Amino acid sequence: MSRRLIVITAAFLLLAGALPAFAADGAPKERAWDEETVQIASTIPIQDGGRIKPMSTFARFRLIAMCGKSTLKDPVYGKMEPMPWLLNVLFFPEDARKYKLFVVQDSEVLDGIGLTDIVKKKRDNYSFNDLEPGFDELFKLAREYSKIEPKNRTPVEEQIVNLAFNLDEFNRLATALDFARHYPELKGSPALAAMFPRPEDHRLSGLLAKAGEIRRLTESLTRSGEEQQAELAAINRVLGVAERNLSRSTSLAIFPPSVSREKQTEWLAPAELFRLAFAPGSSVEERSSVEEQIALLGGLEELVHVSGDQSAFKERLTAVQSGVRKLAEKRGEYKKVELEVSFYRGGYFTWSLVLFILGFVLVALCWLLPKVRFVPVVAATPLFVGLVFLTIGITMRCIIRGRPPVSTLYETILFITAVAVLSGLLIELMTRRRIALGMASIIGVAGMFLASRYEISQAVDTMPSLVAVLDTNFWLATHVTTISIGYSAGLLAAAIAHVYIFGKLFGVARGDPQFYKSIARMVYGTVIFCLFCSVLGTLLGGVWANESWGRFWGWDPKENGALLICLWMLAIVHAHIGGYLKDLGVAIATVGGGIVVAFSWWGVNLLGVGLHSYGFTQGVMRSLLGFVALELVVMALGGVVWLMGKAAADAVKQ
Amino acid sequence: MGNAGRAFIRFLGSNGLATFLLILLFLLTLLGTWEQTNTGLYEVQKKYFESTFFPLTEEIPIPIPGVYLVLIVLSVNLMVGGVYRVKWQFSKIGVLIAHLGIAFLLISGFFTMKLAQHGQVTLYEGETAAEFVSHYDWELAVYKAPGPGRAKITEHLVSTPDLEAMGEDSFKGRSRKFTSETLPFTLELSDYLKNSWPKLARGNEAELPKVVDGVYLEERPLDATAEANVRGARLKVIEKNTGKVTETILWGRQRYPFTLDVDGVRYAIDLRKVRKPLPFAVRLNEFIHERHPRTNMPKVFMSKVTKIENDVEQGVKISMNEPLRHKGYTLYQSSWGPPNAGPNQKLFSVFAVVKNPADQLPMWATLVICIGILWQALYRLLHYLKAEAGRRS
Repeated sequence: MSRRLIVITAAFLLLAGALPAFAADGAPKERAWDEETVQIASTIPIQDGGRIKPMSTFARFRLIAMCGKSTLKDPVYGKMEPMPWLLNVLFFPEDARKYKLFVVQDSEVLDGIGLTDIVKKKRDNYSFNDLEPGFDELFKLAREYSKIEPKNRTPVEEQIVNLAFNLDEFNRLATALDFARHYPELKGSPALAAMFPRPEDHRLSGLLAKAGEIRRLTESLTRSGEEQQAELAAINRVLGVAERNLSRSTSLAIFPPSVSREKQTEWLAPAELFRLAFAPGSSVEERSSVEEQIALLGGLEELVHVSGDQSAFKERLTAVQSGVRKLAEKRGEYKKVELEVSFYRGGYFTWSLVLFILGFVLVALCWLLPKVRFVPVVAATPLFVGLVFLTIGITMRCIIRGRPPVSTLYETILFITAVAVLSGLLIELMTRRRIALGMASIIGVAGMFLASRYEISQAVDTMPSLVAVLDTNFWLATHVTTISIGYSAGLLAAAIAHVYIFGKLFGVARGDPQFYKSIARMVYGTVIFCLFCSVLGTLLGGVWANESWGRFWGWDPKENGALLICLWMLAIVHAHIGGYLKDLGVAIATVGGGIVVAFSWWGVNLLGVGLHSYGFTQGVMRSLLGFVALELVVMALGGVVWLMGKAAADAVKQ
Repeated sequence: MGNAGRAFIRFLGSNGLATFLLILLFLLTLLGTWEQTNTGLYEVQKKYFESTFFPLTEEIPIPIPGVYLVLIVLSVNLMVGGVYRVKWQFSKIGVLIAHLGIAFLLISGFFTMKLAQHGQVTLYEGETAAEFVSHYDWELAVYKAPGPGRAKITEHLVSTPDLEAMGEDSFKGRSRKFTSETLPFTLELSDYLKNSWPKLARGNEAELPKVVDGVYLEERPLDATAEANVRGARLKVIEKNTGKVTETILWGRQRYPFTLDVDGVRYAIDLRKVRKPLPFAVRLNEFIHERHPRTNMPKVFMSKVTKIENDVEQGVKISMNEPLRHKGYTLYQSSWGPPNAGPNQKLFSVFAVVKNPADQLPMWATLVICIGILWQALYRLLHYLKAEAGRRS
């Protein structure tokens, strides 16, 4: 026994020791931005997707969308986290165009755009430069396919549309700071040349800073005679070039307006600064209201020029960051930015996944060592710590967005996993059978893995702005949370029911009838809990619908999904009370309940109809069907167990 | 009561019947949900959820019980079970309360289905309305066309069931007459179509359905969204005194009603969605819609309206999740337009209108059910913990 314990302890220490390595960052081979520079850049706020977020979050979801992962692994340039990657794209675009960045899921996409010769694998990553020869065909096809409804597109058509979108998005980022690289030539306009005698004044920020003077000049030239028209045309040409150079920077809305949030919600991108400064009819007040932003634009231009010098870059970046930060703070829009940076840097959900895996391994050992009393405590520890990490992550998200824990499909995964693990631990505390513990670890691993896959597959900000009807904290906190707890309980009950069926099938604890009685009680108790939460959640949803749309019940697919869970669980309870379902029957039906929960949670979104289609997802169908098929097999195995039991009983009778 | 009667009562209140009905409800809900991918919600609702029976398929007309019937039987099962089967013990109090709440909920659903009125009001900024329009129901209105100024109008109506009966396949090729003692003419309606579109006949009248004044109605397949279907019909107006016949085409989306002069009086005939009066008027002062910055995602929809009742005006804001409730009617912010309106273009706001006497009942039923389940769950949990503690000791 002591040798076994040594092995277990060694395995635990080994895995625990591996944790930091698992989460550690790898340094890119080139353009190795130091940690401090990355941290400063990360905390620059940007308005994107309707909200203010850190630059690192912006970078993260752009990278996931293009690369299919949250870390870029380039064979030449090495491993890159989102923020260093974005810095490289902005400041070293020529290098960035060589990164093996764009994921192509199916080489048929490349065949379709005539790039067959570069294909090495069915799924691979390619650089901007690799794909450039196929651009004409790609964008032509993408325009054609984008006219087709997304749900009617084939996978290849969908990928072509996405690839074209990602390439365009990348190109916008790579050329966003071109205005700082190419200045308009002033030679054609002697008046402008006199106004900007030094070459460094030709910068756009310099031009914008003197927008008032230039406007006055053009107005006087417009009024004067024919002889001044050449000068006027030259100035307009310069302004046209400047505006064109700025036009690619629209996705970088990093300049908070000087006025309050109530007066203007939209932040400004460099291109908009130009429009505001030179807009016909813009008053002196309006022009002066962008002076601070123009100074920050000058800071951005500086950054481009010193990008080769790490310490100068860091210094200028700090100035830009603190300038943007001050403006954002004045508007009360900076409060959550650093918290969000910490949230992603903390990697709470990755840690919880690792700990749940560790917990699962230890629970498996715990089943192998049934007589060692302290092993369940050891196994429960990583599960509990993983749950703490998960809870911290969920809580931070709530604080960042100022919303209850569940408002998107992604958040349902996190919340349902947390509740299932917590319920499993509590049940274990009450029953001490090591079964709920095992199921908690399995659901924990599956849930966190699903959350990670979902984040990558959707490739959009997981803390998005909400549409008007969902923007109500009261109902999100009550109805959505309760329904999610119901889902969680339904899945946990189904997981425990698996133990009953497989235990019986493989003859585990054959001589211990109490073992199965205890599992049956756990299953039935969890079914009742699921029923309570599902009924309460469904009815609360009805009350919300009545308040918002004037009808308690509208037979919308998502409402029906919740009702299906209630009806299924009610049928189990009534059949059990009526004596139609014994323990095994309840276990089999509860596995079926897991299918119903999965359908309600994911399946109805795939139908793409109804008021709740906010959760509509693509590509989930295959996984869902796989899950349903698997669970049907388990139910069939339950049927086999029943037949075996019946045959055994008949044999005894004979 | 004989043995057979007692057995029947036992069956009516049995757990077995409850289980069977719950499974049946489950299957019907699943089918009804699935069918929404191909058919509109309104049609699905009529077929599965508001019917007593429906045919399995058109080819196999085996009657399948609809949700409405199943819920009635379930209510009976619930009540009979409550009276004859459930033991009135302290340990069962939670179960009894929850079942009482469910009965309450079913009853409120029944009242809602029978008594609730639904419709909508569409107002441009500055407009006022004191009536609302049904989503799905159609009527034919005949009235004396009003002259200048506000005049009280008396309308003669052909009701929805009378009209809709003409749209059934069994009525095809037939016509129906409607008249009133106070009207100097009789109306003869034929070729009533549930979804139609007017088309110009370009010299090929012989191949087309009945053409009137160079226009005919093309029958279209029913739209999945029931509101989008536009009724149409052919109308003959036969004057009682002279026997003169005037023929026209009525179409549900005509901008103005059809008018004709009889004995020096101008009459209007309008095929339209059913209109119902509101006990107060509503004026839309301003519609506000905000998007999340730099996106097209709606953030706030809000209508600033004035509620006018007996010449008393009151300013009210109606927004998502914050309706206007007054005199049994509730107005919800439902939609707005035009979608691509320019900065100075007038906007319109659409309010869903509901009159439902059982409006708040589901909330109370929910409360009762939750108390019942919570009570029972806690009671069982305590028992379970006690048993587990006993097992371990």
